[in-house]
Amino acid sequence: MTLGVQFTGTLAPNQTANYYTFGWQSAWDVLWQIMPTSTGTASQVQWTVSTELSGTAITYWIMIKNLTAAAIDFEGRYAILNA
Amino acid sequence: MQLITKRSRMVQPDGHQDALTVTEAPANAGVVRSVGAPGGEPVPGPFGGPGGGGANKFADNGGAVIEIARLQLIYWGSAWGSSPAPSPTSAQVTSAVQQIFSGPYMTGLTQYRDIGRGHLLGSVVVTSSNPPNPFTDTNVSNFIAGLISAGTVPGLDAAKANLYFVVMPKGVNSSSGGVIGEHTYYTDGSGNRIHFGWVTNNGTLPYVTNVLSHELVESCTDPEGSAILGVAGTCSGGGWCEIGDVCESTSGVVNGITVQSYWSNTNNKCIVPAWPATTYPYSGTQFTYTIPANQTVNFYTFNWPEYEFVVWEVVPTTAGTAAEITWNVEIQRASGAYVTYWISVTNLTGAPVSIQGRYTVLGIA
Repeated sequence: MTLGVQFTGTLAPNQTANYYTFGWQSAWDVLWQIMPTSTGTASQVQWTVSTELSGTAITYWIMIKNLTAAAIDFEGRYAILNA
Repeated sequence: MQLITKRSRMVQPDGHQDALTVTEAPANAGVVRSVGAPGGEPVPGPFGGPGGGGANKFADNGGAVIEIARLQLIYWGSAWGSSPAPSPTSAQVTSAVQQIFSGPYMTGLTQYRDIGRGHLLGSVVVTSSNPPNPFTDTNVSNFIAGLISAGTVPGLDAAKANLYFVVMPKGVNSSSGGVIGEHTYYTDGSGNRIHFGWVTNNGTLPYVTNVLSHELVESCTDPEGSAILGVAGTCSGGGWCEIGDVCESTSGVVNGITVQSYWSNTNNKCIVPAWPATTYPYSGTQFTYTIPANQTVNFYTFNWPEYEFVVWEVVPTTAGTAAEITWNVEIQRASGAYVTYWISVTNLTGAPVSIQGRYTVLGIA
């Protein structure tokens, strides 16, 4: 198991943004989690993950939605389950 | 710009200063996770200093804290761009700070109003000017204000959690004799309090990170001299009496980086926290419920440590003939240290479906 932070970002109030990260080995099983680094009083973020085989590697497309009326900072965390 | 006159300072060791609610659902569908179970709380590492006794040394005076620091590093002076490169290099210091943030060092701050780990906002090397030698707090605050104004470093964001640390070149010292690091704040033209600090440099990385870590935890717990402060008799020096001030004689290593210990009321001694002695991954069932036909029920479960990577799965325990359940997960950073997971579960069928909400804690991210 390998875990880490791949990217950080900021979302404006109610903004949805797409991030992508490429060059991940296709044999890896990778999970993604978006962790707010701004505090909030209710649910702050949701995200969906899409995948693309680009050559021999995987590109992850991560759509992140800020559910709040305030700007939020976040970390994009990954877990490689089999590496 | 107003610079306050009191501040916290680090001196040479021989110096003299110093649920259960379920939204839209019956009450019995609540979800609770107790603090520290089953993942456990960070525990102090093997670097603790001598313990004291009796009542807490530090009290919360209710002033501002920084729950999740956004640290901007600023390397000031042409020496940072010299050839050969200085020791340590700015890159080495920046990398070390990243290691401090990714490790357990700050997890012991949870006891102080749920302060959590910070993160590195960025780093910048400014070689176009040099700090006066000796320098004053006003020299540093004017320098930072100029960088913010010029857009060289980011200004405050909505959370106002920015922390600006200036790292000095080797041999550049404070006009306050014996003071090797300090944090304080100034008030900008908009009335915002800008939290900053400075760190001197003896040419070794452990020295810089030791001083920097001291100022970091103190900046988070007491950025304005009004929050976590020593009770009467805790400190003998001047300035704000803060959690690093009583632990200057002990340090530890986190992720290979030297850091200074800080006072823990919980442990009643100086600590350098370590990760909990938990074997990852581990799994369990956090909640059960019966979802009425064609309904969506929202659950939340709180007090999960922010550093743990948790994945959720909702499975039916009622047999079906087609897909029965879908769910999605949203996250709330309820505090610097803790996360609340919001799990929305939809019954896709025309009959009640019993479910289990299962978690797996993969590890530390």
